[in-house]
Amino acid sequence: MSAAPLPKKVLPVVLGITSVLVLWIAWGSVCDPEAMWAPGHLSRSHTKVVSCSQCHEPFHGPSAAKCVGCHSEERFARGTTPEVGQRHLVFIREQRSCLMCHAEHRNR
Amino acid sequence: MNVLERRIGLVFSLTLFTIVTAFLLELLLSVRTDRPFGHTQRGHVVGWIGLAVIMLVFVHSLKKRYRLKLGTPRFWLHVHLIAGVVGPVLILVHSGAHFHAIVPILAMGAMALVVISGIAGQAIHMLALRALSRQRRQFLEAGLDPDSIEARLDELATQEEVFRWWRVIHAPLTLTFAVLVLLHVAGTLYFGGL
Repeated sequence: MSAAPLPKKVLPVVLGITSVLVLWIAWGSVCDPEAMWAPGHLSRSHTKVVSCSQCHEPFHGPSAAKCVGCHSEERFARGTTPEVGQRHLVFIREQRSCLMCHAEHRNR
Repeated sequence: MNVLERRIGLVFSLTLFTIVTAFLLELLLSVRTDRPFGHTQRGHVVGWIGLAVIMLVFVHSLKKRYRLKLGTPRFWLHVHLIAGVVGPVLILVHSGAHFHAIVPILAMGAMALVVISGIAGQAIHMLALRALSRQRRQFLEAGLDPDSIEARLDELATQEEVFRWWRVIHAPLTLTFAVLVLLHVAGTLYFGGL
């Protein structure tokens, strides 16, 4: 059975609706990327993080190197108990992934 | 309640049951873990499998459009119908009842509209087939020759009003769904890593 062609208006309407959605997503990605893309809210400790690239490396996910940019050896030495600081210093020096224990975007 | 109403009720109940079961399965898989199943590697794999199954539905459409010599139309229609349900169910298990990011929510909404319109299309198809069977009997009783009957039924099938309107919704909506899925997958790979 040969199908009758779709009315001519259908494709432009669908393309129009899809384009509007894509433009809205693009605009939202600039204004509020967390709302558009994130699986959950950032924790209270990271409310000052405003850009995804502060933690995420494109196509590589959250980067331990970027975590250490703020959570540095000096900061651990300054601001935590000796046991916690020492454990984290080992992780930083061995360049282990912070994600082994820490996760974000969990709405907590 | 007539047969059609009972059938609609049954399909609606089965659909609701399937959705709830898929969400409960994801919840079960998320128990005693530090993150929802959909945010784990296994959850992502289920998403990829669901997408691969959904891609199977397009073989039927491509075969019809380009008249590919690849199995029978009946076989690929059955693949289309089954994959069109199994694929989305896997996506429901992949996502669970977690709604935060707008892009995946839109993709899920588009998927729901395509699937629901597909299920409605099955009903429309069934009713159209019954009408064509009745018409075939009438043509046979009127004494028309088989070739003439086939040609007339073919013409009737392509002009069937409800079926034509249904095609305006089901197939074009797939385009929007495809774009949103592409954005969701691209976003996951961009932010989550390859």
